Amino acid sequence: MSNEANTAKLLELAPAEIVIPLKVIHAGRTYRLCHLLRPPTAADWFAYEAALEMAVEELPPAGDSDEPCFRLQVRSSDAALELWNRLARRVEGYDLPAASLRQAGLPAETDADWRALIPLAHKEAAVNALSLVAPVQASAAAAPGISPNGHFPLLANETAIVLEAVAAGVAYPRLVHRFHPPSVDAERAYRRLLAETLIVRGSRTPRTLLPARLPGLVRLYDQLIVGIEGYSLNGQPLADPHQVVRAMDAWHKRVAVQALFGELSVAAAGETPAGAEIETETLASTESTQ
Amino acid sequence: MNALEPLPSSSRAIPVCADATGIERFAYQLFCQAGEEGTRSSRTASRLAAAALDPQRLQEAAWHSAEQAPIPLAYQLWISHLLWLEDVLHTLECRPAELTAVELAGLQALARARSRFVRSHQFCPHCDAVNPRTRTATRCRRCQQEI
Repeated sequence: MSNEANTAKLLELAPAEIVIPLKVIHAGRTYRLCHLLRPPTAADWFAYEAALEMAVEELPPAGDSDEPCFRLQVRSSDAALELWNRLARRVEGYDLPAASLRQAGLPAETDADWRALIPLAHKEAAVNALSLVAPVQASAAAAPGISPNGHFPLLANETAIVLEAVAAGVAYPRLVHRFHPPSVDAERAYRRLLAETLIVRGSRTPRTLLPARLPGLVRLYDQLIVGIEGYSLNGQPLADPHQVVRAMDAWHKRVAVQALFGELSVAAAGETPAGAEIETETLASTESTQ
Repeated sequence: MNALEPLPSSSRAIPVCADATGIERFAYQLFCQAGEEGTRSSRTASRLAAAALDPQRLQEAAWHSAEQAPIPLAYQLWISHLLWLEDVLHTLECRPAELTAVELAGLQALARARSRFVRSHQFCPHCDAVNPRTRTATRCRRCQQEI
């Protein structure tokens, strides 16, 4: 196989622009639109996560159940709007005659005008497309280092997490992140990160504010990463872990670290005898809905 | 998911890990709830519900009362972390310097709550059920034998 064929399905970490094709159906007509964004930096993702302002509200039990209900509250539209405004360079497929601009009272040929006119739903869709990355189910992953007979690998010096992503309309089904097995210290840092919350006093129902966790998750990724597969930097596969730390998308780091520690929790729970107390990651499932 | 409602002006957010008093209070409540598992009489609750004009309202009132109110999620998360930490510290050799100040204060609050729970409860010698230590209670709530 040629080198070109090998790198054909690699996800580029430093593209000049990210092309996001959108298919919009409006008033019975289908429009093919395109948003061109600059690649998000870690600071962009940190600002996005902070803008989400995630909170969990506890409600009285409904019906006959004794269990309280939880409602996850996320400012997803505001956060998406903020990130889009930071990243958007240009759009294609929109018709904006100068006459319409004059009618709207906006000066023609300025940078701000077209940004304000793009519908919020389109901006949200473009930002959602940026974060389309998820762990592959363990059964389908067939990660390197996994024994073919399904036995537990003793003396394993790496743990592999496989992600799948969609970028610029192309699916990348096998993005492998290889980690050092997490130490107790790393696990403690991860648990501390999940447990640190704020409580709102004085509200009618208890409300828990979930602070931004992305910087902490990125730090854990940078400490534990050994290597990656399925990505490229300027067309070349990455070999050096330092290069990976610098170039990897912060959102991919977040998903990979959560999958790494999530898998450890699942493995631990699987060993718990029936009837014993099993600790579950309550927030992991709620966060995934954003 | 819902849009975030604005908070009342009187409300304020505090980091749970720094609230040692709250941690101690809710850890004690957690121990009491765990001790009462299986011994709590459901007959009283069902009788009250049957007699109430509006059982849903009664349930909500109980949920809001200090005794029955569930432990807020934020405290559940931090206490769960402290219990895990305590477990790890007992099993592994960890240097005290590896703990943060709030974790140390949290572990101390947990120890105080546990000590208070042990002082205020006794175990039935026959069935191991947890019973509140009172002057009048002489029989186990679960097996009804003399403690």
